[in-house]
Amino acid sequence: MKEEYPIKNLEDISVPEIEIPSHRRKLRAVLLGSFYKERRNWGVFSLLWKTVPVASLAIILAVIGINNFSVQNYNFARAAEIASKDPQVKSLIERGGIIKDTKIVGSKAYLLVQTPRETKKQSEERIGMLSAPSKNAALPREPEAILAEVDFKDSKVLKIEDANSEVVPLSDDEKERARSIANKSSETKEVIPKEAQIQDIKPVYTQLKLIRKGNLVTVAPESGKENKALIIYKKNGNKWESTINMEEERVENIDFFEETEK
Amino acid sequence: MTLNEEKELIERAKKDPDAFGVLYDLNYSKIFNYILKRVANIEIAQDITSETFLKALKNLWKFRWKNVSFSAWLYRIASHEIANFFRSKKVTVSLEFSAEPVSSDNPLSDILEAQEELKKQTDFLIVHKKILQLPVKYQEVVTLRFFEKKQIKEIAEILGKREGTIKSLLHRGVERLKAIMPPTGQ
Repeated sequence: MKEEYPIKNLEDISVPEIEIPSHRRKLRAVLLGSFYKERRNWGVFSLLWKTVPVASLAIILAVIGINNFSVQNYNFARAAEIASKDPQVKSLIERGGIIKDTKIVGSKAYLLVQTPRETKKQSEERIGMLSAPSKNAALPREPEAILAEVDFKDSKVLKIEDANSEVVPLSDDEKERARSIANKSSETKEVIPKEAQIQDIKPVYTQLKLIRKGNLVTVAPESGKENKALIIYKKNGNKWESTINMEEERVENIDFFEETEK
Repeated sequence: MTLNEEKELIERAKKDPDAFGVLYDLNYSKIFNYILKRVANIEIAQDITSETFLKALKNLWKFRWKNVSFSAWLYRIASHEIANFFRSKKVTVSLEFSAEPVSSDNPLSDILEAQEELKKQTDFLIVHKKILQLPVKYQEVVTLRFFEKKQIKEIAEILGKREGTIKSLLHRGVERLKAIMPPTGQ
C-alpha cells in the first residue's frame, strides 16, 4: 500500500462540491446581457482573424519571391562571370556573341552563347578592316552557338559543346519545296546565273534557347522547326545565298558574295 | 448530451443568447468547483469563474470543434486564468478559506454557507496546502486527475498537451508531493 501513497489518499479524499446560486444567477444575467454587444465584436475580430493571416502570407510570399529573384539574378551573374573567363566563351563574346539563355541545375549552370548571323554589310565591313583578306573572307561568317557547363563549386567551366548541331535540319521534302519556290521566282532567274550550282540547302539560322527537363538541359530552336530555308549557290568561286520563306512560298532575299583573292 | 448535440448547441450559442445560457448552465458548476479546488477560496473562485465565462463569451466565435469538447475548452480557459492569478499574486502559501468580508454583490448568506462548507473539508484543505507548494504545471494535472477525476486523455485535451507529457507531469507531481507530504504514522 505504501507504493500507492499518496495516490490512494488523493483519490479517496473528499473534495468540495459547492454551489453559490446568487453568483450563478448574477453571472448568467451579466453574460446574457452583454451577449449582443460581444457578438458585434465577433464580426470585427473574425474579419481580422481571416484577413491578417492572408495579408501576412502575401507579405511572406512577396519577400520569398523577391529573395528568390535576387538569388537567381546573382546566380546568373556569377555563372556569366565564370563562363566569360573561359577562352572559347570569351572569344565568341568578342565576336559579337551574347548569352542567350541560362539554366541553373543544382550547383551547375548552363549558358547558351550565340552570335547573330552576319549580314552582307557586316561581312563587307569586316573585310575592309583586314589588311590581307583570305580567299573566303568575303563569305559571311557562319553563326556560332556554344553551350557552356559551369560548376559553381569549383568556379570553372566544365564542358563546352557546339550548340549549332542542335538546330533541326530540313527534311528532303522541305529541301525540294525550297528548291521549287526558288526556281519559280523571277528574282532568282534575274540575279543568279543559270550555271550556278546549288551547294547546300539548310535551315536559316535561328535563335536558340535552353530547355530544362529535370536535370537535363538541351538546346532547341526558339520557334520550333524552321520556316525559312537558305539555298546556297556557287559558280566560279562566287556565292549567292537565297533566303526562302517557306510559309509564304516566296524568295525573301538574295545575297551575293564575291570571292576575294589574296 | 451527445457530442453532436453539444456541437449543434455551440453553433446555436453563437447566434442565440438562450443557447449560450444552456451551455452556461451545463458547465457553471463544473468550472466553479474546479477553480475552487485549485484556489480553495470562495471569493477568488467566484472572480475567476466570472472571468472564465466572460472570456468564453468573448472568444466563442473562435471556438471550432476539433475533438475538444466545450467543457474542455472552458477548463482550459479556467486553467489559464488560475495560472494568471497565481502569477500576478505570486502565491506561495495556501489560499485556504479566508474569513475576509464577502463580496457585497452576493447575498451574504450564500457566501457564508459556502465558506462554512469549504471549512468542513479539512482533509482537502491540508492536501491543498501541500499541492500549492508545487509549481503550477503540477498543481493543474494533480487537481484534474485526482479531484476532478479526469482521464489522461481529457487532461491532455484541456491543457493542450500530449498524453505522454501529462503522464510525465503527473508522475513527477506525485513524486514531489510524496516528498513534501510524508505518510502519517511514519
